[in-house]
Amino acid sequence: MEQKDLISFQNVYYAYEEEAEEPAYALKNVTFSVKEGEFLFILGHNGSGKSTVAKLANGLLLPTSGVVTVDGADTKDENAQMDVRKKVGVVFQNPDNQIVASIVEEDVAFGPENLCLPREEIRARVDEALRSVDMTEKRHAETYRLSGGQKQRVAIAGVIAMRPKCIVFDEPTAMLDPKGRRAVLHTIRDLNTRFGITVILITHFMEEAAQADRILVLNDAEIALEGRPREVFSEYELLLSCGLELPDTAKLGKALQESGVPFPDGILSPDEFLEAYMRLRKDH
Amino acid sequence: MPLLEVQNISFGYGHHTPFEVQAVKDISFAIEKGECVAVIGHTGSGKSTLMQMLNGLLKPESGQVLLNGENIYQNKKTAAKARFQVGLCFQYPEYQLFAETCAEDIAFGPKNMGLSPEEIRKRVLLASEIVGLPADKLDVSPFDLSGGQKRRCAIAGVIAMQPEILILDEPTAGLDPAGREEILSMIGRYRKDRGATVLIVTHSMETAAAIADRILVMNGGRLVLSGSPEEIFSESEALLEMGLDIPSFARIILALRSRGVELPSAYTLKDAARVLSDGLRGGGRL
Repeated sequence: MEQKDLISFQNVYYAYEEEAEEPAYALKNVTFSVKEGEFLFILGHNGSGKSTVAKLANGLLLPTSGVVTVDGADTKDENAQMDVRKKVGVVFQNPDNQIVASIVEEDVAFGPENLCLPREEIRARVDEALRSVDMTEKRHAETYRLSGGQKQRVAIAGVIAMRPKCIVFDEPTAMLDPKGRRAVLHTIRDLNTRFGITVILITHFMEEAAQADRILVLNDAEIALEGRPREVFSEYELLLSCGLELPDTAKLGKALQESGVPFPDGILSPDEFLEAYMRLRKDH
Repeated sequence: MPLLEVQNISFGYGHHTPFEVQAVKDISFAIEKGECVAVIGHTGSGKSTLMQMLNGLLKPESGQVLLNGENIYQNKKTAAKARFQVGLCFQYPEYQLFAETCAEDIAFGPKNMGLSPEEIRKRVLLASEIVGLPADKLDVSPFDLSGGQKRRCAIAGVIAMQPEILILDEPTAGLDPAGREEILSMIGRYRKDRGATVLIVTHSMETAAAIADRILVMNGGRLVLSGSPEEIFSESEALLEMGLDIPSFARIILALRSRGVELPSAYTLKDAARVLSDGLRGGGRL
């Protein structure tokens, strides 16, 4: 069955200073859509417009021209605004800026409380949200004592408690140590595969993007490339010109080719790399 | 005599409250002139507290910080001087840009040192050249720069003080791949051309492997490991336990070894490519 579009951007332009004589566009003629249940990565250099996409996707910003729809509703429609924000949650880079309460479960309860839900419903949502990010044990902990990765998972739980259909993650691992990164990525993948939440993940780490369903590459406010990881990472020159690079595994494969080894193209995951290398050893 | 010598320093927050934490516990190490040292450790391991104690911002509760053999916390004057001698560049330094033009922003430090206008001008030009900020950007507002350029402008402000040692706290966090590469090659050039001493705090094991002569590993406020990248990254289990990792290239080599392929260790892209291609050629394989 054809999956339906959850979020769609149609010819979207966005200028931060609309009134200026020559407005500088953060997004120019951007058209794409995200299907329900999809895991979409957005890559692009600093200032390419990625974060603007995140803010447009849940109505924090409204397009200068063009249309953004969430589950069929135009984000410009004031009557739909509350619904749009409930359906699309956003998690930002710095966990410290997103924690509002001093105790973990109080922080997660902040959103549902603002929805004026009954007490039992809030309790149930908080418990479920903490379980889904594997932070149940820390529910009574003080937020400031948590590690960066734990704080980020609490911030994610706060968004999950709103029961969104889609979560946009704007560089959620940029400030984390390796363990924090692993834990947060694992949580995000889990939300997608086990709970069916649609995910848009913005990142500067190419390794993370190698596991995407689909990748969108932004360059200077426009879409430069769109496709499956294998397609996108085969456009090496174009990626470089967009300020990006290959995942480490693919870089190593390319370095091997350059040193004269007949290493196959299109190797992205470490497992594929191992297979390809073992095959080469056998052949020679 | 080492350029910087840290002897048994400790620091805690919130003493006499239920929230007391010992952020840095009895740390000692030394840095020689011209060395590039990377500090790695999980978030909250005490890295940032340690950095602030090295440049006169935070006085250790016990122990000493010696710069060229002199205790920087002797008195207020020596502590103030240390802020110029040890250039500390915080995380996300571009948030601290404030002046109307890049040139004025870079000049802020040298101005506070009481230097002459000519000397300040000279240093601004030199510092922007070192970080690779184009000269035509000097009269532009720092807020009109790209993310990577903003970061380099902020770092130029510290380099313009011509510190004896440059400390960079997570200099590539939040930057795109090209921006990361620019910062790392800038550090390389700065060291090569000027023999500079650099201390860099990073969460990227690949960065630590690629640029450091030596790596210090912090865990729970203590300095637990110190050694060459080879020595540190051979302790993969200990690193994983501390919330850290080994470089991605080293992981591939390890995975191949566990499948019975005999390969020497490698931690950087260049070394891993060489080791892997030798692994195929060896034994008349290719």
